[in-house]
Amino acid sequence: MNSNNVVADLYQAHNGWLKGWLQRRLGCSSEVADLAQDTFVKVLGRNLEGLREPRAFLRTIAHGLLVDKVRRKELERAYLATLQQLPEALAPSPELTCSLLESLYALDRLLANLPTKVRQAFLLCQLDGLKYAEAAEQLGVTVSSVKKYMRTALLHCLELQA
Amino acid sequence: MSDDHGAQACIETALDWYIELREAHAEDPRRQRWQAWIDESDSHRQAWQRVQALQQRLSGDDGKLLLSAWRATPSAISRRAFAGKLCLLLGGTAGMAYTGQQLAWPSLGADLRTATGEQQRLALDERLTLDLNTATALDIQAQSHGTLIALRRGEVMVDSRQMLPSLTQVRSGQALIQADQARFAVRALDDQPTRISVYRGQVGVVLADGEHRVAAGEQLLLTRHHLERRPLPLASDAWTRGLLISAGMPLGEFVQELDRYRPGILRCDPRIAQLRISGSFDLHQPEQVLATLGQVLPVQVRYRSRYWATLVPTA
Repeated sequence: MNSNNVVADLYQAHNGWLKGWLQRRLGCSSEVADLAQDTFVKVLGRNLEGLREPRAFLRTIAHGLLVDKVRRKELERAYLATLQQLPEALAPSPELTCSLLESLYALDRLLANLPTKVRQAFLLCQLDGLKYAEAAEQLGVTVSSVKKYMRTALLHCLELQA
Repeated sequence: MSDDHGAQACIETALDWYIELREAHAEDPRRQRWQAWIDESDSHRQAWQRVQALQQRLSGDDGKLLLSAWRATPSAISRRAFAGKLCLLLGGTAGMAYTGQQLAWPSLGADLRTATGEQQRLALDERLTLDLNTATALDIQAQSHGTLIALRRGEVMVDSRQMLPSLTQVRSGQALIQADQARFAVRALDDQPTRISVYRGQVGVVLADGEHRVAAGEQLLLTRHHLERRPLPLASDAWTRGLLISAGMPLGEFVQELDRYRPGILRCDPRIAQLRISGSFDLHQPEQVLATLGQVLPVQVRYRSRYWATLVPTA
């Protein structure tokens, strides 16, 4: 059986259940159908041979999509709240906001993939402007570790920009 | 391939220079060696320009805005502990998808959340209203006998008007707080005792050793090993009206409170932490509150960056 047939069967058998599962998490939301759809789209093209627990599989993918969606909303809200703290003159234009939000999602993925200490050292030095020695004291590590952390974080940023 | 490899090596060397020179004095002899390295070839120069462009982007207004916004997300804190799981979640790799495990995540799995500085009121139905304070995350679950709220972090004010046998229950750590008709707040902040404050009616606090009744006008402070009962501090529910009201609160405590509502870092110099502050302050304008403090107390704000502020004695 080719893999698209497997997906079609999967869809037939579990779409109703998946929508119910999503509905319990989202409430009566118009997003339920969209997310169920997206879940099956993600399944397309994957190797599904030997799939033993289709519902656990679908649930995990749907959960990932849900988390992504929730995370984006969370980032947007934090962005707006932070924006409100700025003097009006410094606030970006609406057109800019759109591309800044895209950058924020990318930044989120980048920071999420960094080890905890690397991320903390990066934020302390880069955002708060701490010296290596100050950041080292805050984190309880050596100055040379902080330098190493900063290097790692900036290298990831450069890769993102490339 | 070897060109790519060479370019990557140049970038890494340029980055090493940046890290070395970030705090170097203008006269530091290393600067000459750095300049010599740049002058050595065009690829060195280009690599340095890339590092410099990145640095300008990150330290410009937009870069700071993005980094601060990221840090203001409620899960930025829980994320520290769950970074490994997050990679898996966002990566959505097939190998992991088959395990079908339920993935726990204190903040993201939450039904409702507020960012730092944000407050939200939610009328669930005519029997239950919630006020979420800054940086709060909670789940709501309907049950046959009422509603269960799992407070993951932050602070919530519950106004419950249930008819027995229905109850509103709040779970926070080891404690289960329940009431039918009451107005009460539960606050769970990292490294602080869980605080249960009752403003109307009475609530039952179920712990391992049994149920403790807390009546209107009382507050219960809970740690893992200790339970303290005390009268409600003055206007401790003012946050639901967006206010911080203080009658002789020590400045250190006041700053710690204000810090919860402001993205970034806010600190108080220990030399002035015992000064007393009285007044009514707008929680939605923490910057303005900071500016006001200087008018009533011998203190001033020192900004290390726009987001890192320390309250210090007036020079």
